[in-house]
Formats: sequence, structure tokens, C-alpha cells
Amino acid sequence: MARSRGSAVTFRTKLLFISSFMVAGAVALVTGAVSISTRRAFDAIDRERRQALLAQFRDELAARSTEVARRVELAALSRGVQQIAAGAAEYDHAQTEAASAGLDFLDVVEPDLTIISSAHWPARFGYKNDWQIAPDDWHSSDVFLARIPTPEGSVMALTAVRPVAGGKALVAGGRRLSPELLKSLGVAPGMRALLWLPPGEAIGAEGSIADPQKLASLIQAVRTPNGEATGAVQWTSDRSSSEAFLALPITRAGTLTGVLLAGTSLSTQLGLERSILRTGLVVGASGIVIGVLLGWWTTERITRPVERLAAGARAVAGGDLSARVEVLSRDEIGELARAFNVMTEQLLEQRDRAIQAERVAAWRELARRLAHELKNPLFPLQITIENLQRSRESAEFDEVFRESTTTLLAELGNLKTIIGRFSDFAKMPAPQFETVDINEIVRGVMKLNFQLERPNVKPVLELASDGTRIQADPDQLRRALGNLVLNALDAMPEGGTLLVRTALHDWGVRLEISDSGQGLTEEECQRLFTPYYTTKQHGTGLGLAIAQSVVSDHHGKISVSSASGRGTTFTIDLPASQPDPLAPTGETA
Amino acid sequence: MGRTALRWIAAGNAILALAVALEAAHRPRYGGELRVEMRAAIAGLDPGAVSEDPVALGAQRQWMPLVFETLVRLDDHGRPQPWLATSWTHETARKIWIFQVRKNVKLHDGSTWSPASGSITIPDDRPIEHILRELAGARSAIVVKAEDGSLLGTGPFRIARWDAGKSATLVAHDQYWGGRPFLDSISIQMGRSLADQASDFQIGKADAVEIAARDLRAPKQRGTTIATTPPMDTVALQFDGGRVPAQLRQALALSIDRASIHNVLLQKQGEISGALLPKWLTGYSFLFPAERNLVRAKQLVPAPLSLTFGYDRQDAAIRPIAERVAVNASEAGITLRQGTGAADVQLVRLPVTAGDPWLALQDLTALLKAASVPPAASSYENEKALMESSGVIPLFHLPRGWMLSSKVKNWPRFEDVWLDPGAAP
Amino acid sequence: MDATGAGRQQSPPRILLCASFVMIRAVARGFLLLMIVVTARADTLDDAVAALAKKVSARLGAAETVRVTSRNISSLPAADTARAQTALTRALQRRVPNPKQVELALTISENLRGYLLVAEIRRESETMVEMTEFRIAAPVSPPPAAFTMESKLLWEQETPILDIAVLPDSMLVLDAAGLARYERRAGKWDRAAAVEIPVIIRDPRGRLETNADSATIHEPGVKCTVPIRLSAPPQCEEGGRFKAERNTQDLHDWRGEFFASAELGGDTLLAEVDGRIHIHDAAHAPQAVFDGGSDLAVIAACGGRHIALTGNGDTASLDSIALYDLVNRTPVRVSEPVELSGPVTALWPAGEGAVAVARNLSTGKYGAYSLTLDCGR
Repeated sequence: MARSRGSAVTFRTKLLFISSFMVAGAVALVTGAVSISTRRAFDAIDRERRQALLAQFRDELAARSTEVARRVELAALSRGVQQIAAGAAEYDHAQTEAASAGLDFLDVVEPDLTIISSAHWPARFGYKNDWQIAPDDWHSSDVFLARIPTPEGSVMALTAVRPVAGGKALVAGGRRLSPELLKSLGVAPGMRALLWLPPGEAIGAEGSIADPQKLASLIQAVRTPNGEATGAVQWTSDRSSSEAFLALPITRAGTLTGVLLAGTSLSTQLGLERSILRTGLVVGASGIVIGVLLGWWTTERITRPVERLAAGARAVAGGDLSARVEVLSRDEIGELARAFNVMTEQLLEQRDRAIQAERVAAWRELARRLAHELKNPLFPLQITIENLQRSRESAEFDEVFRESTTTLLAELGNLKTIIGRFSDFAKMPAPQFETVDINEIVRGVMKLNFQLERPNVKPVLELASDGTRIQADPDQLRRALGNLVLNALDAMPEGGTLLVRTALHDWGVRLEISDSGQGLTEEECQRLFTPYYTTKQHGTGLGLAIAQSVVSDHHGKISVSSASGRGTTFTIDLPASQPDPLAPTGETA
Repeated sequence: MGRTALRWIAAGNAILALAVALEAAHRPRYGGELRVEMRAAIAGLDPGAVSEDPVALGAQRQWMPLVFETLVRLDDHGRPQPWLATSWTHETARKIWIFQVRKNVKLHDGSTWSPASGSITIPDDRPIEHILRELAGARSAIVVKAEDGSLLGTGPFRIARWDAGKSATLVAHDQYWGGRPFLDSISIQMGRSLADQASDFQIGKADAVEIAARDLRAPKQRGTTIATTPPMDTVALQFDGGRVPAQLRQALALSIDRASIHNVLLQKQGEISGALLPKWLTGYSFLFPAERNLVRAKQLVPAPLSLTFGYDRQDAAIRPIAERVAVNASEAGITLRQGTGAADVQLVRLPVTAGDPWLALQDLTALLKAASVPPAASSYENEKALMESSGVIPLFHLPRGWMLSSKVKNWPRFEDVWLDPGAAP
Repeated sequence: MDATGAGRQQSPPRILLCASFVMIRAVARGFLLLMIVVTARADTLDDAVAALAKKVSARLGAAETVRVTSRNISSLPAADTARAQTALTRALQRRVPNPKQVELALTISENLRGYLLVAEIRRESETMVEMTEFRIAAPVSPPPAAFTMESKLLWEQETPILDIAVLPDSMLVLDAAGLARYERRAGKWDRAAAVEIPVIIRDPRGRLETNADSATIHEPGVKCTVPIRLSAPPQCEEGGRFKAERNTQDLHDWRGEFFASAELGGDTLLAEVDGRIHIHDAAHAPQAVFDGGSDLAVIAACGGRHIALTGNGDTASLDSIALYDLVNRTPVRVSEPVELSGPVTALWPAGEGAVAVARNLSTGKYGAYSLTLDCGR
């Protein structure tokens, strides 16, 4: 697997994301669907149960209202209340009458609502009755909710009013709305009935509710013309305290006198949803983990061999054709590894053959070159010697001997030169590195090669301004550079421009020698660095080979680019520093 | 003085007066034990030990003269009459008053009470009327300490047994100078609620029990007699120290609808009053305002106010009054609520313990824990000063009532009370 | 009650009335009456006014004059109030230049010891109080019984008689069954006519009022009118002087229950259900209470108006009726009691006398008696 040192996402990571996404997505879908179904099922059941509870509540309230009406009527007809109305009883006699009638509250009042006797607050005789009863209700036969002030505070009661003694007085009586009313309802577990009473009190079977203000939004909702309202109330910061309510208003003459609330605890439903969610999360997490593990195992099975393959390929690319990949399986990856190994073996054989062939070709080329080089001086040698042989008997023998010996010495000199070049090339010494300024070397070489005037060649130097000091062998560099300059000059017999450029890079210095000659073909470019290959009519063909050898010894790189008719550019890249010859070298791939 | 005349002399301090009504033509009989029950729980009858409980003090003043007598006694007009002192003369030279003591007055142990030289001298540093008034007061009763430390008196009854706060038995003093009482003994059960007393009366366990003022108008039951006194208890609002400023006390006073309470709760028994002492005793009670002025009351209460309110919940007369007072006060913006500990304001019964305003005010000063003021020229000024210093707000004067079985005759002059065994049950 | 002290009853003390003075209902000699007006020495009202004037004068500024208003909350007669006011005004009269008038409220009150004159000097910034006590001279003792009351049995029957009216030529007897008319024939009363107006109630009550043409019958909750000769059925309507289903009377401007009532000297006497007679003044304020029976009637005879009162006995004892005068709202007996054969069940004024109905304890019959006064004896 290609493992880039940059931001490329690995196959394993992609596989992990994909598998995780698929697992998570599937689990989320399933979890969501189950949650929604569960919620709907709960809602449906709870709705029915709340409706039933409210109906039961209404019936109980109606029954108690009837009872209150009956008791108040009995009280109104009782002798004691009539005595009170007539002013013939003690001021607190209403207490006795209330107890007899089974009423919690009983006020006997004048027609102008002045209290004659009060059961629950006897001391208020003579005061106006202050129960929250609408003026019309004082003459109504209905039973209604009213708030009644008591010494201990106000309470709500089911209240009825009846005339006494033909209307000479009125009796208002009631029974407190207590949690007992709600307790009497049979509610299913998890359900409860509440009664909200204005201005903001709520009672349940266990007593008053601590935070009735949390019902405010529901109460507001029932004030709409529709009347009924549903909603959920969360009582504490814990979501499981939530309750879903169905609320029904109790109104009288357009005024809200109370609200019946049937509530279902959402704790079970929420718990189930949480459980579903938890399960989904667990399954999802497990799936992701399994996916990760599976992905890891899978990628291990795939990527490791691929990585090994890649490492092997890199080694091969680096020149190590002996690199082999371990074959650990018989599947496609194993086949691939085997193929790779076969490929590298073949490459190795091919390289060896190529090397051998190249060697043979190089030897042939060398032999040809030697033959060519040597042939040139040898032919005149032969001719000269033959001339000597022929002229031995002639009178021009001395002149011929002098000319022939001169020619023999010149050609022997050429042979010596040729052999000297080959010897030099064969025993080029190891470079002695020192810090040199490449710009200085360039200037030196150019100066040397332009000592003689070359009127048709224009030298151009584009040298980097600074930092061109590198570690190099100056002599070898001059030699290599000199060969390249000579080749460039030789490529422009008619004249042109010789450009030498230096440029700084992070890794070192780039040196370019460009001519404006007729250029090289592609084949020529490919064979250019082969020793003894030359396109010149003269020369040993070693110049570029020497230049390549020097560059190679400097751990640099030389390349050529050319186009026919557009000149040729030799590019030499030299590192700024050379490795310590004593430092251990890493195995290169 | 003969017994007939003596019988017309008020016992005690002219308290518990009753009108003479038709009487049966029966001669009194000696013997028997009168069984009395009452709410008060008295620690003792020692004249020097004054109870701090108003109810107990009122009862103490009622019963004490049966055991410990004074040199002079106030008659039914509040005038001092000879009692243990038969006469008094002034000796100008020595600037003293000489009180001749009655002869042959026997103490409860049978010994003769005989002050040195048969007289008692008192400096003449103040008018004789004041001296006589003081001598008629309970604190001036003649008490002799016996060798065993017990207290001996000269009254028609002696203490045979005293269980402080619970019960007591008084037995007739056979050698009483005014003649042995008809009764052999009086048994007193103390600390009994009105309901318990009524119950005991119904089952015949008691001959005389107290009833609430509002029940005085109830039709008498067969075999019972209702005896009442003129207004002897002052129902008043008493404030705790200086916690409630004068302005708010006045606001509370102005908020109370006394008329409604009097008409309905008290069934028109007693009288509405703004004075500490009732009209029958002073004649000037009308000088202390008692009208309701709710508008003014509201003006005096700058912001709604809450005070703790205390009263005796066992007192069937006080409780409805207290509840009504709380309702009235709420109209003025004053909330009276029950509380624990010392209440800011209490509804109390203050007894009128003497037939003389000055003596009565003396006891009230002690009950109200007010600073004693030098006696002013008039009892009106004294009373006014006491009300201002104590901040008390009188509301009503209530009579006391007793329910008597039909066999009880000549109630409540105990030395003349006798039991008619032949009376219809 | 008898103020003379004669007879087997002791002389009752003269009672000075307080706002709520109660008498014991049974035989008892009490601990005491509040106010026996027995004056060994007495300051007169005039002396008291003079003393008060002196005190008030000392309180007035040099340029102040007074305007006196007065009221009486004592048992002294109203005339004394006017006299006191006049005397005080005269005593405080002064001629000053640029007088500044202050209000002086004079109140005649009373207490245990006697009477009290209270002067409230009311200025804008303060009110000063001065008072003087006094006792008046011994009042004229009520004379011994001045009248003799005689009773005469008019009619007797089994059914409870509620009222009876003796007409010139007939007698109407109202009883628990209705109204019957009797005519005198051959020296005895014959029943001539009757109308049924039944009263089904314990302790039935009824009152008969007659004029030349008709008779008006008041029974509990109903009032009926019938021709005097009972020639037509009675015309009845709800109302009347008796409460429905009760033996108590109903005067619409009174709240509360009472058995009998009478007007005397501007006061209203009510025999209330507590067994006592309550005296209320014209403003309905209670003024006095004394023991008495459940029936009373005012008899205007012998130059005055007197009250006939029954005794304190219950329904199982003999009863009596005596005549009383009210002196300072205190009953003073002015006739010997007339003993009857049993408890009195009705007592109504009739002309210059009264009629009384009593149940004979021995026979159980109800007898109607006429009571008349002999002014000379």
C-alpha cells in the first residue's frame, strides 16, 4: 500500500470508514425505526387510558356534585338552618348544621350575602360572604367549583346554593375538593389524575403538587375554543420525570374554574427508548469495532502483502533487482507476490544479460573505437613503413626517411595520446572532495576554452549569485566541465551561443551547459554517455563518459535534453555535500 | 352589729353581687358539703402571694376572704365597714389612727387573736379614706403564722386540705366570731374546663359550676339555678412589652367591632367598654372610647402587618371573641396569627378583684406588670395612667355566672350558704 | 319584689341598675346587691353641680366660655339631667370680651357608691375631665300595697283557654280548638256558636281582640278575623303577633324571642325566654332586668298604669299575680299577690283590669279569671 508521507488516505482507513459508516448507518436506521414504532405504540395505548381515566374522573365529579347538591338542599330544608335564617339560632349553629349535613362548608347568608352564620369561619358573621361565587350562581341550582377562604387559607370546593325559607335567606354549602376524590379513582400504574384549580394550585391523589406552574402551558392550551389539550411536562431535570397529559377544562359561564388532567408517566417509554438507543449504540459500536477488526484483518491480509510488494517494487526501482517478496498465501495476493518475484528474477537476469550485453557492446564499441582510433594512426604507420621499404633503394630515401620518421613519430604520438586517454579513463582516481565554488570552476573552464578566440561563439554565463560552494573534486569537475564545453563548441562549428548556467537548489547546485548547435536525435541522446560513443568525427568518445563518471563519483546526476535543430543542453545536478565515506550506508532498495 | 345587718354587708370586696329574688319560706339547715368546681387553678390563699394568672387571681380574691379577714370590709356601696376592727379613732398627738380590734376572735387553731393592747395603730400620713380602703384590701388581711409554719386566719372557713392548683377542702370554723357557717365544708375542684364542669354538674358531681357569659341567657334547666354577677371580668388585648408601637395598638383597637361581638357572641351579656374597670364600679367608663373607626384604623397601619396572637383556647368565651377580633383586625391590614412562644398580643381576662377602684387597679397593675404609679387624685387618672403605661386595650366587661343545683341556697355568701336536701333534683 | 321589708320576704334593697344587671332566678340571698340606695348622708345633685362647676372653672382659660350639653346614663330621672345642665350652665356663665367657646359634655352616671357627674371639657387639642360623686337623698320608699286585686273565675273548661273576652251580651272564649261564643241563658253560659281555629302546639298561645263587629284572633303564625257573632268562617292569613309554631311573640322590630310584652312609660317590657323581664328603652337599648314570670300585662287603673306580673313558679307549682309599679325601672309591688290554683298560662289586659288563665293543678282544668283593682283598698 502506498503510504505517502503526505495527506493521502490509506486503504485501511477508507475501508474502516466505509465499514463503520455502513454499520452505523444500518444500526441507526433500525434503532430509529424501532424507537418511532415504540413511541407510537405507547402513545396509542396511553391515549386510550387517559381518555378512560378522564371519563371516570368526570363521572366521579358529577356524582359528588349531585351529592353536594343533595346535602345542601337537605341543609336548606333543615329546621336548624331555617332557625339560623330567622335569627333564632346561635351565631355558630351553622357548624352543627354543616356536620349534620356532611358538608365541609356552610354559610347561611341574607339575600344581600351578609353572613348570618358560617360553619367553617364562625367569626365572620355580619360580613359579606366572600366565596368566589358569581352573582348569577347565587340563584343557580347547579353545582360548581368555588374557592372558599378559610382561616387557614383558601380552598376549592364543590359548591351549591339554595334558598331558605322562600328566599328570605340563602345557604351556600360545599365539600372540599381533596386528594381523596382523586384517590378514589382506580388508576393504572404509571398513571395519575390531577385537578388544577385557579389561580394556580394543583392537587393529586397524594396531595398538592409541588410545582403546579409547570402545567402553565397546558392550562393555557385548554383555554382555546377547542378546549382539550395534550402535552408533556418534565417535572425535574431528569427526563424520566416527564409525564404526558390530556387536559380537559371545567368552565362555568365562560370562566375556567378548573382543569382535569390525566397523566401518564413517560419514564417507561423513555426508559425503553433509552434502552433501544443504548442497544443501538452498543450494536453499532460493536459493529464498528467488529468492522474495524474485520477491516484490520482484511487489510492485513491484503495490504501487508501489497506493502511488501510495494517495498519490493521500490527496491527494484532503486536498482536492487535481488529484492524478493515473501509469498504467504495462495490467493491472488500470493499469486501477485509470486509474479513479482518472477518478474524481478527475470529483470535481474535481463539486467545481467543487459549488463553483459552492454559490456559486450561496450567492449565491441571499445574495440571498434580502438580499432578506429588505432586504425587511423596505424594506417599512416603502415604507409610510412611501406614507403620506407620502397624508398630504401631510392635516392629520396633520406627525405623519405625523414618524412616517414616524422610521420611515424607523429602517429606514434597520436597512438600514445589515444592510449593515454584510454588509460586515464581506465584509471580515473577517486575524487578528493573539498569545498569549491562551482562558479569559479565554470569561469576557469570558460576562460581556458576561450583563450583562443572563437569569433562565432558567444559565451553566456548565468551564474547563481551566491551559495554555489559545494563539496567536490575541482580537478575532476574541471575535466568533466571542460569535456562538456568542448563538446558544445564542437557542436557549433558555424558558431552560436554557449550558455553556462548555475542555479541553487535545496539539494545542491544545478549546472547547465547549452549550445545552439543542431541538436541530437533521441537515439543519440540515449547512447550519448556510452563510452567511445561520439557523434564527432574526431575524438575518443570518452569525454561524456568521463563527465558521467565524474558526476557519478560526485553522487550527482547528468542528463541531456535536445531537440533537432535546437541545440542541446547538458544538465548536471551536484549535491552540496558528499557522504562521509566512513559512515555506514543504508541498504538501498 | 347583728347578724341580720352583717348579712347585708358585702363579703370579700363587694364582688359577686346578686340581686335578691323571691325566696322560699324555708329555714336554713346546718351541715353538708358544698362541691364547687372552677377553671382557675390557685396555688394558695396566702394574701401575700399574688398570682400572675388573671383567672387565678380573680378566684383567689373571691375565696381568700373566707379564710383570711381584714380589719375593715367594703360594703355593697364600696364603703368601708367595721369587720375585725370595730372602730377607729384618731390620736392627733401621736398622729396615728387606733383601730380597736374585735374581741373574742378565734383563729383557726382555736387560739384567740389578740393584738397587743387590743388595738392596731396606723400612722396618719394619708387620709383615713385611703387607710380604710387599704385595710379593706386583700393584701391587708390578718394572717398569723403558726408554730408549724402554717398560716392561720380568722375567717368562717379554714383550710383543711390544699392541693395547689388541683383541689382544696375548706371546713367550717366552728368558733367563727360571726357564727359558724351552715355548711360543714366546701370542696373545690380547680382547673376544670367549662365543659368538664358542665358534665360534672349534669351527673351530680358538683353543686356549683361556672358557666360562660354567653350561656347566661340560656333557658334554665329544671333543677338548676343560674347566678350571675355584674361585669367582673375585663376582656382586653394585652401587648407584650413595647414590641407593638402605640400607633398600631390604637389601629387594632379602632378596628374591633365590639358591638357585633357583644350582640352575637356574648348574647348582649356584659357591656362594651374601653375602660379597665366597669361602669358599675367607676361610673366613668364611658370616658374611654370604644367605638370602631375602621377608616382611621387603616390610616394608622402604613403597611400590612402580622402579629402573633395568643389566647386561652380552653376558654369557651374567649375563643370566639379572639377569632372575631382577628377577622376585624384583618380589615385594617393587621393579620393576627397563631404563633409559638410569647405572643405579640394576647386576649386576656382581667379580673375586677375589689369593690374599690383603687384596690382593683392595684391588682391590675401587678397583672399587667406595669410600673406602679403614685396614686393620683382620682381613680380615673390612675386608670388612665395604667392603660397608657401598659398599652392594654379593654374590650368588654363580662359577668361571671354560676350554675347551681337547686339545693344550694343563699349563694354566694358562703357563710350563709346552706344546702336544702329537700330541694327538687 | 317588695321594697318594704315586711312579711316573710326581707326588704329587698333598692337596686341601682347597671348595664347588665341580672337577678338570680331561684331562692337565694345573695352576696350582694350592687347599689342599695340607702343614704345615711347624701350630697345633693345641686351640691355636686356646684362642686363640679368649681373644678371646671379652674380649668377654663380666662377668655373661655362653655356650651353645655348633657346626657343621663344613670337611673336618675331625666328631669335631673336638665336641672343639672341648667345649674352647671348658670354656674359657669361668665362675661368675657372675645369669648372663646369650648364644649362641655356633662354626663350623669352612677357607680357602686352613688352617682357621678362627669364633665368633659373638649378643646381642639385636648379633652379634660372633671368629676364629682354624690348621693341623693333616700328616695321615697314605695308605699305599702296600695291596691287590692280581686280575681273572679269567669270560665272553666278542659281545653286550654288562650284568652277570653266578656262582651255585653256574650262571652267569647278562645281556646286551643278555636273560638266559641257563649250566651247567658237561664243563669248559665250556653254555647251559641263556634269556629274552629285549632292550635296544634305545645303550650298553645292566643290573643283575642274584639270590636263591635268582629273579633281578631292571633295564634302562632296566623291571624284570623271573624264576625263577632261567629256567623261566618274566619278569614285567616299568615302573621299575627305570635311566631309560627312557637309559644313566643313576634314583634317585627325586635329580634329575639319573648313570651309577653308591654309598653309602660316609653319603655318596652319583655318577658323573655330566659325567664326574666327585660326593660328596654325607646331605642331598644336594655335598661334593666328583673326576675318575673312569663306573662305580664299593663293595667291602667286607679289613676296610673301598673304591671301585673306572675310569680316565679314553674308549671308544676301554684302561681300568683301581683301588681307592680316601676320605680326607676325597678318593680315595686303595690298589691298583694292573688294566689291562683295553679300555674298561670295566660295573662292579658282587659279593660281596667286583666284576665288570667290558670291550670288547676288538682283538676287539670283551665280556668279563666278576671282581675280587677279596688283602688280604695
